[in-house]
Amino acid sequence: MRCLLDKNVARYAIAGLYHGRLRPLSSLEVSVLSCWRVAEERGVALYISLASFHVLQRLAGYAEVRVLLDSAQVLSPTRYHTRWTRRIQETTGLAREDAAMIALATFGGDPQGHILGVHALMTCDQPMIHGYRDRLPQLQRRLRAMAIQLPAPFHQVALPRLATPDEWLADLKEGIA
Amino acid sequence: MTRLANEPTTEFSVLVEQVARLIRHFDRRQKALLIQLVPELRTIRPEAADVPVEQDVLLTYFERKRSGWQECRPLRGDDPFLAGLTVAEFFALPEEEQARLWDQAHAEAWRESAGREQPVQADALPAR
Repeated sequence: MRCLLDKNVARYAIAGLYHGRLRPLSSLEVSVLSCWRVAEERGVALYISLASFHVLQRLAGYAEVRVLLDSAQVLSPTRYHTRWTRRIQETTGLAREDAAMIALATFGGDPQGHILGVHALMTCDQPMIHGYRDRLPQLQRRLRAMAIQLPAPFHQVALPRLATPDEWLADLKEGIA
Repeated sequence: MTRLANEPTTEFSVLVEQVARLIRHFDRRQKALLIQLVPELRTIRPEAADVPVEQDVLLTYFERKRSGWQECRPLRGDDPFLAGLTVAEFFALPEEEQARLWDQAHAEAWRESAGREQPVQADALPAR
């Protein structure tokens, strides 16, 4: 199981670690940290985008950031990522960066080139989740039509499940994710 | 004595109150000796008593993880963070403004890495 963490998840994780000893955390901060912990305990591989990596790397001298960088691998765009980003945008009307993030979950690779895509994208962005879920059948059709023409391993790509930390936590605890 | 917020059990709280009564009778030298024997007392802020027990357990998990990074130190309020703001300034902003600055930093990072393609092996594991 592989899960990509959206940029807002990384922000809530750092905020939670920073504020954790100072005040009661928000429910979102608790959910993100709980998800992170349970994912590690269940052996889920966590990923962050290359963009998140660049942002976090500038803050890597801080323990709260370093622990996140140490827990997640970097997922970078592969061939066809740009094309699929454009199609997601056309189909869902989502902003380019949201579409690029969803496309990364499908056409993203690790630095070793050993994996292609992830099973889930964890995000706190409700409009992004709704925009994606509302057009899921159309996206599935478009991805099938595109993938069938692609060489290995790209012809085997799949759409990710987009979920909030709470939804993901529930899935993990029930052994679904 | 004021009751501690989020105290795990009454029994535990009574114990803390008994210890506090005892410490109040210490002179300054004895209190200093106590801090020498329990040095983490210096790093704990009084607000930590308001942190829920579940949160405390969660934080302990991550503190264990980060204890391996000796060259890193915890964030402090006056540390530089993002967009020219310190940690305290950034987290004092309204949630929408924090999100906007965070998104902006990511948008710049996306632009910087645009066009780069990660090669994938032919037998790479798809997410199926």
